[in-house]
Amino acid sequence: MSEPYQILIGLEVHVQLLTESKLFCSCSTRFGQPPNTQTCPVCIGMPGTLPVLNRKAFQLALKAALALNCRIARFTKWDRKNYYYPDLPKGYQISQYDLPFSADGYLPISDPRGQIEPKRIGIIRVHLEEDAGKSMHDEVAGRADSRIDLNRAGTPLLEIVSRPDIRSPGEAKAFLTELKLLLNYLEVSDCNMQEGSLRVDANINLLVDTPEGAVPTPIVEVKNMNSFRAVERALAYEAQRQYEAWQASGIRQGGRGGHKTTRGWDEAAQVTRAQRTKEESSDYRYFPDPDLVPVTVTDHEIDELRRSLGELPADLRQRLARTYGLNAYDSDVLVSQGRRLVEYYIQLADHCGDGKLASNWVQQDVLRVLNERHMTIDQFPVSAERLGELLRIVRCGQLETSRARQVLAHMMSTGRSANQAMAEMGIEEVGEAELEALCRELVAANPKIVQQVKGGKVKAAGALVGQAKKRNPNVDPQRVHKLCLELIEKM
Amino acid sequence: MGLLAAAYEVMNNAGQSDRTGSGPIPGDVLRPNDSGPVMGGEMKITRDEVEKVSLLARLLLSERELEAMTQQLGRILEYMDLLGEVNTEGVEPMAHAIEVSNVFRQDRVEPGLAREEALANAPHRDEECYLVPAVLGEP
Ligand SMILES: [Zn+2]
Repeated sequence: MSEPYQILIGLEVHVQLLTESKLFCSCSTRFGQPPNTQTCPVCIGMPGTLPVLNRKAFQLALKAALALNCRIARFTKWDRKNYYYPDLPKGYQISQYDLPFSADGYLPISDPRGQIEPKRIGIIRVHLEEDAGKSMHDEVAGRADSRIDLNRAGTPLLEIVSRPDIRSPGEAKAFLTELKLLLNYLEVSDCNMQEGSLRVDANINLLVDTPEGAVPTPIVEVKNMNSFRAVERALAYEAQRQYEAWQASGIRQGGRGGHKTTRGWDEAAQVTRAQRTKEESSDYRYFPDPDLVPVTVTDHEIDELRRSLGELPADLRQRLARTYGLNAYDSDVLVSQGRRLVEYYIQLADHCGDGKLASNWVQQDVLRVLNERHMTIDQFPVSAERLGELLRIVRCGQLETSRARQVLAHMMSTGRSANQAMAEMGIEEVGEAELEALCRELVAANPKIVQQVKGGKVKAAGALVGQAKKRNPNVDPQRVHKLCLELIEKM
Repeated sequence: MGLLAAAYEVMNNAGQSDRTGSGPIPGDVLRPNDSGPVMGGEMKITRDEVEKVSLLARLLLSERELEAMTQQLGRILEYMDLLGEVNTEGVEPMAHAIEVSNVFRQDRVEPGLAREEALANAPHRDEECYLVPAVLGEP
C-alpha cells in the first residue's frame, strides 16, 4: 500500500577500525579491559604531549573509502572539534572538517528476496576521527556522580555519512547490512554493535504529497539504536509519527517550529522520544590541529591499495552465480557468511564438481554445525577436500543423502576420510540384483500396501521403503521406491 | 618587523587572562583605555558574540570582563585585517605552519600509564574511574 508521503533517510555510521593501537598514541584498543588501564598522557589529554598518526588506521580508512567508491583526497588534514564533555579529556576531538580524506562515493544495495529494488546509496564523505571515553551513570543506584573510563578515548573511528538517498527502513537495514559485510571482508572493522564498534544515527524526514506539491517535514535525528533491527523499527515508527505530527500541526521544514530535533529510540517501549540538546552544541569552532601535520597520498599508493582490496561481496555474488550456477538467493546466503566460508564453498564446489550440491550441503549441513557448535568455518573439522570427496560419492548416486549425512557425522567425530568412514560404518553399495530381490520380497509380503498403491495411493509405498531400510541400511530409498512401484505396476 | 611586534602586543594584551586559568579575570590585567572605543570605528566582534564564545569555552565573565574582552578581541580581529592587504594571488593556502607531511607511527601497542598514575591528578575518583558530576544526555 502506498503512503501519501516519501521517506528520506540519511545515515551516519561510526565504525571502529581493526587496529592494535589507538589513532594517535600507542595504547591498546582491546575491548572489555578494566577501566582506565589503557591510557597514556596523549589520550588523556596531558599538556605538552604530541599525537602521532597510526599508519595502519590511515590505510584501513583508505581501503574502506576505496571500496565505497569514494574519491580519495591527495591532501588531507586534521581539525579540532571543540566541545566540553566529561568523556573528552582534551576539550576537543581530533577529527576532519573541510578536507576529509575521501568523499563522493556510493554503496550499491540489493535484496535477493526482492523486498527492495537494487539501487546505489550515495556516500557524502568518509573521514577519520578519534573516539571519546565512556561515561557511566548508574541511575538505579541513585549515585550523584558519573564515572569516566578513558580506555576508549583515542580509538580510531571511521565516520561514514550517506546521502539522504534511503527511501525506507528496509533500505536502511540493507545499507547497514551491506556496509558491515563490506567492512568485514576488508578486515577494516568487525562492526560489532554490542561492543560499540558500529554505531548508527539516522536523519529522517518526509516529503508529504499535498495539493501544492511535496512538502518536507522537519528533519529528526534518531539516536540510541542498538541493532539493525532497532534501526529498521525506529525509522518505521518515526516515519509514521512524523506523518501524524504533520497531519496534526502542519509544521514544515524551515517553517515556524520546523527546525531539526533529536530523538532517542526507546527499545523497551518501541518508540522514539524527544531528547534535549543544547542550542550551542552545534558550534564546534573547528580549526586545524597544529599538533598534527597533513597527510598526502599518491596515485601509486592508491593503486596499490586498490589492488589489495581482494574480491568484494558484490563481485563474489556475481562469480558464484556465473561460475557455479547459483541463484541470487543462494549466492547471497553464502557471501553473507564471510570471505572464509565462501573460500570453503568454492573449494568444495571445485572438488565435487557440482556448485548447487555444494551450496546445499554448506547451507544445510556445514552452517548448521557451525551454528550449533558456535564455530567458525576455520574450526570446521572436515576439510573442503574431504567433504568434496563425500559429495562426489553422493553425486554418483552411490550414497543417498540421509546416509551421507551419517557418514559426515562419522567423519566429523573420527577425522576419517569419506571412504574410510563408509568402510567403518559397513556401508557398501547394494547391487542391482540384491536390491530387486529385496523389493520382490517386500511387495509379496505386503498385499495391503500393494492394494493401496494400485488404488491410487502412491504414498503408501513409503512404508515399503522403511521396511527395506530396516532390512539393509545401505539401500538407496529412492531406488527402492522406484523399483517397488515398477513391480506393483506389473502385478 | 613593525607588524609582527604590533601583533605580539595585541596578542599579549589579549592573552593575559591565560594566567588565571578558567577563573574570573582579575580587574588589574585590564588597562584603563581598554574600555574605550575601538579605533577605526566599526566593531569587529559584538558583545553578544563574545558572550557566546565565552559560554562555549565555559568561561564565566563579569560584565566588566565581557566589555574588555569585546574590545580586545575586536582589536585582534582588526589587526588581522592587515593580512588582507597582502597580495596573495597565486599563493596556495597552507594547512599547517611547517612544511612537513606524512608523519606516521607503526600500529604497535606500547605500555601506557598504570591506572594509579592515570587517576593521580583526578580531583575526584574511585578505585577505577574518574568521578564527575552526573552526566545526563548527549554532548
Ligand atoms: Zn594513549
